[in-house]
Amino acid sequence: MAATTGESRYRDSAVGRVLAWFISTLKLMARNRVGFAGFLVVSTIVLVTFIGPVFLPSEVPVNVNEIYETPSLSHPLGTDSEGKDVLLQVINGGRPILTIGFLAAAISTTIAVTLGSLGGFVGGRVDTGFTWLADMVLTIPQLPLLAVLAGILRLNSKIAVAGLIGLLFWPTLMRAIRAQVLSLKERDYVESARALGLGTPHIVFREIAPNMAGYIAINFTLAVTSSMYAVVGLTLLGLVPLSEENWGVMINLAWTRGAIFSKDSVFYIMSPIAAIALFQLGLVAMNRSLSEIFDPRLRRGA
Amino acid sequence: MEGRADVLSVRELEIGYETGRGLVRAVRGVSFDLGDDESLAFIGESGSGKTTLGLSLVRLLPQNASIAKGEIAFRAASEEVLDLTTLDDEDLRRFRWEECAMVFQSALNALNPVMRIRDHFADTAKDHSETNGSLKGRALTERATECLEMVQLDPGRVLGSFPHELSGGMRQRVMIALGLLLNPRVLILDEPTTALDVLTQRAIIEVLRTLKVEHRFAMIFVSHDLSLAAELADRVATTYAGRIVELGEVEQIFYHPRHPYTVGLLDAVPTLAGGQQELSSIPGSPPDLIDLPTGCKFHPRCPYATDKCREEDPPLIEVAPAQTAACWHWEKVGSDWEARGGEIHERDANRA
Amino acid sequence: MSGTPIELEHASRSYGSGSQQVRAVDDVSFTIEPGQTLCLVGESGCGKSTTGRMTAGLLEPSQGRVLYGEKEIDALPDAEKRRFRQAVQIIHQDPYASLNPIRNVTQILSAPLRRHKLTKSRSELQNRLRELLETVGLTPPEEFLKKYPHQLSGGQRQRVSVARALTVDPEFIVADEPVSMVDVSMRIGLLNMLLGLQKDLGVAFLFITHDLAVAKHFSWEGRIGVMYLGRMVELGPTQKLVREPVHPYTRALISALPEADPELTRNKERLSLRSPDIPSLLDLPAGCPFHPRCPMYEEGLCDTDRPAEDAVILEEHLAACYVAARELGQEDRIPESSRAAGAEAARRTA
Ligand SMILES: Nc1ncnc2c1ncn2[C@@H]1O[C@H](COP(=O)(O)OP(=O)(O)OP(=O)(O)O)[C@@H](O)[C@H]1O
Ligand SMILES: Nc1ncnc2c1ncn2[C@@H]1O[C@H](COP(=O)(O)OP(=O)(O)O)[C@@H](O)[C@H]1O
Ligand code: SF4
Ligand code: SF4
Ligand SMILES: [Mg+2]
Ligand SMILES: [Mg+2]
Repeated sequence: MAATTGESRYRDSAVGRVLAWFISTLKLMARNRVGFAGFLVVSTIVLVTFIGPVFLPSEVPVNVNEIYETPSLSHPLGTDSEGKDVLLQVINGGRPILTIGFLAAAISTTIAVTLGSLGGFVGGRVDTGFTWLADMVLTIPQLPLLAVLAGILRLNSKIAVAGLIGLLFWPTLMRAIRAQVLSLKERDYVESARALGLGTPHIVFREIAPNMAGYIAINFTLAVTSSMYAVVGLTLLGLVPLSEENWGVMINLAWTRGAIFSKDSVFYIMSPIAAIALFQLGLVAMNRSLSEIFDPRLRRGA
Repeated sequence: MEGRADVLSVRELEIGYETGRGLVRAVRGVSFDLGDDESLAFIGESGSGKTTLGLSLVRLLPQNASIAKGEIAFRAASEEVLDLTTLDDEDLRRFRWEECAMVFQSALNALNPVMRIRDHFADTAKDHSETNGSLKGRALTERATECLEMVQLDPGRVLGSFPHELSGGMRQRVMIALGLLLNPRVLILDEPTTALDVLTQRAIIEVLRTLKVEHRFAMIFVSHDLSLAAELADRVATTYAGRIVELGEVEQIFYHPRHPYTVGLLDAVPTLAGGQQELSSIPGSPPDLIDLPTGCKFHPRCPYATDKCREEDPPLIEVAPAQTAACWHWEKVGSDWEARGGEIHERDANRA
Repeated sequence: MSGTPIELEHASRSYGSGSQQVRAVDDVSFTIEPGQTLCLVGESGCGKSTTGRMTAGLLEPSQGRVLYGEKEIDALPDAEKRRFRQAVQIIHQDPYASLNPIRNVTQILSAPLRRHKLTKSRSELQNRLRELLETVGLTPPEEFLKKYPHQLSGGQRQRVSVARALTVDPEFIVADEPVSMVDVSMRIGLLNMLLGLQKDLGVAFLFITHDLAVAKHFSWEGRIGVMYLGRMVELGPTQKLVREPVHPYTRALISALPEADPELTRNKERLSLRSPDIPSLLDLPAGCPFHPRCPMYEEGLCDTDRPAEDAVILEEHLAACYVAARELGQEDRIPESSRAAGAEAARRTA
């Protein structure tokens, strides 16, 4: 408790409790430097791409006099084939990709955790059914399928894209969760809970699932990563007709306008790629701290 | 000690582990001598520093451990006396197995699962090849065979086996045989029988007895199991919170203890022989080695504790010939023990 | 204390399938009356835990039955099944695995109280928690209520496990090696606390241990059952079984046990086995499963039929050994085939 005594006076109100939780979580994050650095990178990118556009013009102005300029004070990342500022585009173009990434990850993680825990714990036909479904989805080559579906379905809302990705990406995590549940359900404390007649919902959601929280959180971030790749891939192929500026569209434009063949445009094409890479690096680094947050041995101090 | 050649003399040894929470004082001011065919048992609760002490004798302490103070004098076969706390790496390597060998706690998992037992012997020999170049091929097989026979294993069958093909007791004996490979003068065994079944334990005890009686190894056992000490030890040291609190001949410790902690341990262990026993455990739990109590470290759990105990740590003093104890009130502890002796204590009744 | 006896009737349990199938427990029967203690002892892997879990209704026997009162537990009507589920509790061996690491003592203990509506109000719940912790010797209770498992010592965790079992006022507790992973200095305290539950609350115990000395201490007034390779080889009142063991395996165990007394242990009579190795459950020897190791083995007699667990009957005391049956004048309990094979072998060697 030593770590939280200072905040104990806030404890009475709900807001205070959330605040105390938040502070102690930050402190735990800070225990691992790499993880904390990752957290800072991720939150900076999220803040800048979600709040930044509010203060920026929604359309980055075209300026034909400044095509493919190299970085300068007025254009820190240079300009594109229409003379638009690259930095502004990077800031504007993060939100759609991140939104879809998080949404898709939320969908696939929810499906995976629900089916995995239930199948693992209940066993029998339920388990066989879920596993079969997962295997089916897994055997389909995902990107080509996505491409085909995107072509047929004419995806034009972010939610639809996220839903499609989420519906295809859950099986791997589901199998991992199922394996975890299979091992957790053999724990002595689960057997004691059975002996005490505590019931399936209590056992699955109070005894077993919280023990996987760190694991689930880490997998959620990995799912965000792969979903982002998927959207960028789809946009790059021009299959998701997203009109607003986004990192995928930037790469697509760079590609179609031949930017990759021009030495001057290296900043234009590399900027969205670097943004994606940086964000993912941040997530991966942040994972180091995640397991600590969910471990009561660390949360409560020794 | 006159009339006896000591192979090992430890003086005022202090060992600490550097941790995030602070310094763990795992061994504090430990001194003892080991005769060259003697067996000495260290008994005490988990976390009392027994393994740490054993590791320091073979200089295998982990990175974050350091010997703050003290001396470990070892008399090598050549009569040369080495101070293990200052030995350089080269000498150390030679020393580690030829002079002292350690069989580790949880030895059951210490064998590499993908290597045959024969290769384990070869590896151990190779590790020491600079000083032991000759132990290869035929000579190695012969020595390995000899060692396996010493621990009552069938070399023909065991040498070609993988660890998983052997039972727990057999693996434990293989570990002991590996320890014997380079013919050490002192064998250190950390919990050699813990986690084994009674019949397997018996087999190991008999092997160790043979090593002691017929091959005259000097041995140090580290265990929380009092019966192992009762079976095999010549002398017993009771350890508490990193320190020896009582040291004496095995009969002295078991029949005439003078330290309340030794008495507590004896009162807590049931025997199979005899009638129903009044047993009681020691209240409380062992102290945090980072934040030790003042005065006598046992005072929070000791029924005899007085103000003096809370203020001053008692020194180890002689309480009988060859027996020392660190307790301010050892005389009272002793007279209480002797007074209830015959009546309550099966072990005394059985002796009569 | 009114209670209901629990009975294992020819219960067996197999694991695995095909050629890898093993019978971890083979045809074991016993009854435990309310308030009684039965200790199971034997080497690791001999089927003690499997027997315990079947008795607690947590594992179904592959053959045979577990009876609560007169009825098989699977056939119990719902209300009685619920009563059984609360009446029989289990305590595990490993103090580090038996409590959920992410739940504190209050959460651990209040879940069953809430679930079964055993306390009506918040203050009643608090009082009950305190009372439970005091019963298991965790005092002052306030100090423990907010603690997480990792903040407790092994002995303290085991006490929390016991308190958790006590939340539902059980009649019967299966304790699976509850002290073997606890420090020596704290073991007896835990055992004495469990003995207190038996004396004060009338709880019956199936107490599993591999240490005969602990069994003797815990069930001085009760019985001990000795298991070997999934079978019960001897079952009798503790004091008799320890003083006058009948089965050679029990005798071997008693003679091998090191004692915490130098003279006693060094001068003990030792029985040496013919082989140190335990046969694999996958490849059991014919006849008496102990015969490859038994110092009293007789060709023919011992390797033809498997001695039933009541081959020797001395009032309440049973043993599965033909040689003992013969020596005790119960030759009529040995099947004809074994007697003939024994006589044949004797003639051949003569
Ligand atoms: N590598 C390490 N780093 C930090 N502390 C350590 C380390 N190894 C041991 N300790 C601490 O040192 C103390 C003594 O440990 P040691 O292993 O010597 O005890 P022991 O008497 O052998 O116990 P056991 O009976 O459980 O084997 C304990 O408090 C332990 O937590
Ligand atoms: N869940 C399981 N699956 C397969 N084999 C098991 C399982 N549980 C126990 N066994 C096997 O059954 C035998 C008896 O085990 P157990 O009842 O745990 O014995 P004990 O408690 O006496 O050590 C052992 O051979 C063990 O390996
Ligand atoms: S010195 Fe005092 S506290 Fe320490 S063991 Fe002796 S009587 Fe107990
Ligand atoms: S039946 Fe024979 S082999 Fe089996 S225990 Fe008795 S004497 Fe030994
Ligand atoms: Mg140790
Ligand atoms: Mg078991």
